[in-house]
Amino acid sequence: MECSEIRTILLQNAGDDLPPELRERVKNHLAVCSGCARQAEIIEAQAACLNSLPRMQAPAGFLEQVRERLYAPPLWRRILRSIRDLLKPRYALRFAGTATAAVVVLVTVRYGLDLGDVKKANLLPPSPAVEAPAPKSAPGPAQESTQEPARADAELPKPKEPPAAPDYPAEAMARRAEMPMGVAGGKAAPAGRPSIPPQSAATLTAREGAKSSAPIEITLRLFDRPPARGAGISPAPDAATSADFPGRHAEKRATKSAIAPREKFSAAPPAPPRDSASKLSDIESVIIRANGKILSPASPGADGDYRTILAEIPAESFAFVRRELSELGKLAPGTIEQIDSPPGTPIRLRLRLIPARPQNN
Amino acid sequence: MRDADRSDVEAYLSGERSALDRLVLRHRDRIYNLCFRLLGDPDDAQECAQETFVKVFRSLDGFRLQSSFSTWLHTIAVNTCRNRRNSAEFRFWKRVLRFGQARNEDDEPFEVEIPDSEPSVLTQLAEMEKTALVQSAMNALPYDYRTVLVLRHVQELSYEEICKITGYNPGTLKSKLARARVQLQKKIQACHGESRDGML
Repeated sequence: MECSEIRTILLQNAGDDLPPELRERVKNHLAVCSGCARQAEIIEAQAACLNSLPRMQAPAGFLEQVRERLYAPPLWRRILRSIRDLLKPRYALRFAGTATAAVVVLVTVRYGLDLGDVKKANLLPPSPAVEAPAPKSAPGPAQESTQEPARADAELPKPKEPPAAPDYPAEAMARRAEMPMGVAGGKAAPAGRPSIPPQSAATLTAREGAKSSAPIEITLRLFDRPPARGAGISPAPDAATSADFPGRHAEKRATKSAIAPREKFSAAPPAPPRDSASKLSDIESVIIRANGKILSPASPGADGDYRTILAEIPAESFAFVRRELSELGKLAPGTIEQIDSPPGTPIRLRLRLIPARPQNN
Repeated sequence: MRDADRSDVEAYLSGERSALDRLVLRHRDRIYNLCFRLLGDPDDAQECAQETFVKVFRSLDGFRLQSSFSTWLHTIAVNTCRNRRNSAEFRFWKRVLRFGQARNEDDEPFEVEIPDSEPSVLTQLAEMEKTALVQSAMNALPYDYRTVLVLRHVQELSYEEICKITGYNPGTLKSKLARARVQLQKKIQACHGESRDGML
């Protein structure tokens, strides 16, 4: 036998009893081959070492832990039981109470955070009792209570006030605010209907309270036919000679506009419908002729059904613009009619243009 | 032992709870020792040994009494240790590095059971060092090689029982044993120095 065969036999049968004939042949080979004899010693020592490894004993309490694990309900059953317990009335009430408390805590924390943000933004005036320096002389209790806060206010820097709206007619807003709810544009709400304030009146009232510089909302439903000849094409008021603006022509146009344009030209063939670009051009020309300027061109609204134009005009041109717009379309009920701001005060308008209603025929 | 296992299994299946205690007490040390040698960590070994018994008793209804209860127990223990090792391999290897050291200063070391009845301190130290060296070398072996070595030399099971437990045929088992011994020899040489030639 060769050495490789002998070593394979030794490795595969370490410490085992070999068959008698095979054992004899291995023994004869090991007697003459020192390398294989050395390998046999190593394998025998290795096996003996493995056999002599200490036998570990299970720790104390092993049996009890096995019993505990064996008789414990499985995990899915424990989860199921927990869910069933949660659905019991008393646990459900507890759960609801806990959830309510959690919501209250969350809201409180959120409100506290918001309040902290407001204070950080210096929107709230600082407390004078904390930041005011103490007076040098000790006044009496009554005097201290009445004079110290005023002195503290005088010494403290005044908190920043929001900038006043330069282009918003405060007088008009005040007048608008005095208007009773349900009365828009001087018209009372029909009897028997709930008094719902129109959008523009409500918007103006809310805006006045906020003192913001938001523009005046004007909603205009455009006619689908071109305006009457001459209407909306009145000469532009000259800024230098506009003392009598809008003037005689405007009064004439106002008289004409009282008559329905389609009835007036009933003998003439009906004019073709105008496209939206020409309507926008008419409106922009009205703004330009009123010495105003277009702040933002027509842009589609949120619902895509109308367009919005932001413009700025002088206060004295408001009546002119309103009249011209009323000839191009139908103003929404409740649109502000007059502004009492001094001449030259810039007024911002947001024109919300609604396309004409589709005709059924 | 085989007859005792059979009667205890039948008693447990008939509802006698004390039969469970007898079966656990009879096999707990062997199963714990097997798990410890396969995993190298006492905590993992205890966990796996307990899980082995729980699995066995939960599926005892399907156990056919033709085969040995001990062999079945060893089979489940080997598979449980394999699953454990695969699921927590990183933790396992991390813990193996601590083998042979006391967990705390107050704890006794694990290697307290030395067969010599009156060994000297030096002998004890040498035995501990040898045991730790062999165990660390075995931990470095592949799981299959470690399993056949432990079953053959530590648990001292026969080839037939090992074949039943591992599912190998005798030729494959002998081949794996031979390769495991060669690899163990190399590991011991690497751990103990080339001059020792694999001898301890």
